[in-house]
Amino acid sequence: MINAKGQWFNGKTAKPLEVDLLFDDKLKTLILQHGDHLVNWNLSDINIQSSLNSLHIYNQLWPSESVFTNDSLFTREISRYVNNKRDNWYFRLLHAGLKIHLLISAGILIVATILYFLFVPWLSERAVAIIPVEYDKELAALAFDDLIRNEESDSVLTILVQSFCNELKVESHTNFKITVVESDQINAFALPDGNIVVYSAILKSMNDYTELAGLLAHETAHIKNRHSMKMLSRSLSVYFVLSVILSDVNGLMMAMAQNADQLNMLSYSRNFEQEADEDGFRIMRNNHLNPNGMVKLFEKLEKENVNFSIPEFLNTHPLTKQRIKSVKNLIKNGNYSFRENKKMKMLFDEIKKKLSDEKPHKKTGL
Amino acid sequence: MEENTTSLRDILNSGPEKFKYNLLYLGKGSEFFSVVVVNWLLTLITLGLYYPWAKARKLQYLYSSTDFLGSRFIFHGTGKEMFKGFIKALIVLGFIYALMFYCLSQRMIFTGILVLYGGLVLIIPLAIHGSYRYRMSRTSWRGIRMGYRGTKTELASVYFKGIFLTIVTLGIYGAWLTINLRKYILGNIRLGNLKFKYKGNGGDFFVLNLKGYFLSILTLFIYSFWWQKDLFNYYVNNMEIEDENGNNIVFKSTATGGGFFKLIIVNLLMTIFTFGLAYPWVVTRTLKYIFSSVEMEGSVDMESVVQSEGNYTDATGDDITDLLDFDFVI
Repeated sequence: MINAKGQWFNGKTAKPLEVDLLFDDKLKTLILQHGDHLVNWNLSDINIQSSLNSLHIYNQLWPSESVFTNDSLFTREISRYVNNKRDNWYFRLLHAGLKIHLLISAGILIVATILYFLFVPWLSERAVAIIPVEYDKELAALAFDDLIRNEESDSVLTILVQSFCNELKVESHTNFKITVVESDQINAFALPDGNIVVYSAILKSMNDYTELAGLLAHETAHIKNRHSMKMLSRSLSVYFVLSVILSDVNGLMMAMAQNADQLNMLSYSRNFEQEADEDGFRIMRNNHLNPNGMVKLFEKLEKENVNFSIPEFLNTHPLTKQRIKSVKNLIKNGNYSFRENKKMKMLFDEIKKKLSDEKPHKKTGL
Repeated sequence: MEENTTSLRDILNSGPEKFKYNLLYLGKGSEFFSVVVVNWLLTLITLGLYYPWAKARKLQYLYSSTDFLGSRFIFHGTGKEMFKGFIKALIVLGFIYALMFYCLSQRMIFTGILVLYGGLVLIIPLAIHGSYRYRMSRTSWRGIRMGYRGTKTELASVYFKGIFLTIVTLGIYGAWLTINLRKYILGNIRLGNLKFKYKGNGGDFFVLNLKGYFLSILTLFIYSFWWQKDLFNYYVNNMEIEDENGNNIVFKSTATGGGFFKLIIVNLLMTIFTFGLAYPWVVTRTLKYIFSSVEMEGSVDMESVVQSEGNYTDATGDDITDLLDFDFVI
């Protein structure tokens, strides 16, 4: 049994009251005596905060009385008692020492990295497999109206390119629907519901039907492999994993992590482009079309982008030179045969004719 | 601890009518690091479910490291209370998002967006109310509880009136909205029988922001640290505490633009070069700087403060504001 003098805050006023403190570890109580007023605190209700020679003891019951003392012996004894009593897993973990904590935090960083590079791709692939294809369509329908709202579509060219596309045999979960849009931009894109938008300028730049086949093979490969949904699913997976790991952390770290992820996302989308190129090559081969059409198409894209000198890691598409090289490699190593596709050639000639009829004042492509 | 005893002595020697009050952050980065690392670990292992408990541990440490006149603040909230709030917040937000996705799936894009933003705008005043009500009721100093006496309806009327006028004036009224909310919220905070008060006005705040905005652009954002200082000073210098007998405590900031510059740049570098592991030290430095930049003096005898608040336990608002990424203090 030990005693000391201290100050008591009685939960009624903030005025410190002089008290005699009496601690008895057998009775498990702390007795406070103020004048002839006696108060008993059950030791299971108290919490302490000790520094070198002073001690705050808090009663956790309502309202929240507390006691302050700077009696060093009393401080030591109470701290020892409470710390022994607090022998639970959290307390042990909290006081495991700086070395252990640094190890834990290094471990968390490693786990976070592993989650990011292995778990996230796995999770997003899984998610895509579960998400029904109808959802892709919902998503695309939303985007489609938005993307071509301000564009003028060409119904005759649309029908012609659609017929051309129908000649191309691609195994996919959906049908492809072509829209040709009047534009000077050399571009084309695919939406997950099978909608493929082709800008008239890219058609004008083509000289051979295998180029158009190459373009459609590339775009249909995006759709077939559900690349859009994979991107979306990956973004959500990253968000999910980041918020679990970083939930206790301030906005700065979250922003840093998300920006770092943006950079990585670019390379992810580059992988998709490459996959679409490779798959597009396979589609060309299966249709017995000359895969050089793809090379010619890329060479034109390269010519267009002469001044386009963004380093590869900042670009969503692999550098065109790199793409040409990859496809040439595929051609060199691939086992394939091709023959002329009369129907496609005929449709392509009609497309070219329509293009030159339509805008005689504009020069036709390259 | 030496600083505390000095501050106590200061009060005793400073005569009957004039007091100086000292607010100190005495936490250590290494101690807080331990709290934070264990929180990270447990949150990760439990896939985020530990979050409310982690938050309670964190707040308990931060409060108990904050010293006012030699006595520490205490956070009485528990993980269990906050977990209930966390679940309620998830249900409310989940409901709003579900409704939005339903509208989107029905091709009602505009309605969907309206549901999302309208829903969030509607729950913000509820979240602020709940957040202050809970947080204040779980805070005590020398056995005296803090409290928030605002009502949902009054707060909502200040808030919606402000939102409406902000939209009508193309954002200009935003400065008044911020200050009016601050006035209402701070004006309803109590420490026992002491009342908080905020004296700022929207016009000054608008000019301050306008100046800060243009000078920041002109100086390639270098001025933004001084802007930050002005915002901080405008907050602190307009704060006041008073009791029912007309005694008061006035606040004065000694923060400088240079001080904020050093604080923010070093924090940024520390965070970047340690992959965020320096977070506990960043918090420690920031709190030390902020608390040491606030001077208080006045005629309130802190020993005369008496208990005035009842017992209160709902933690819902606290978690909604977290999920929406609000700052606690407006």
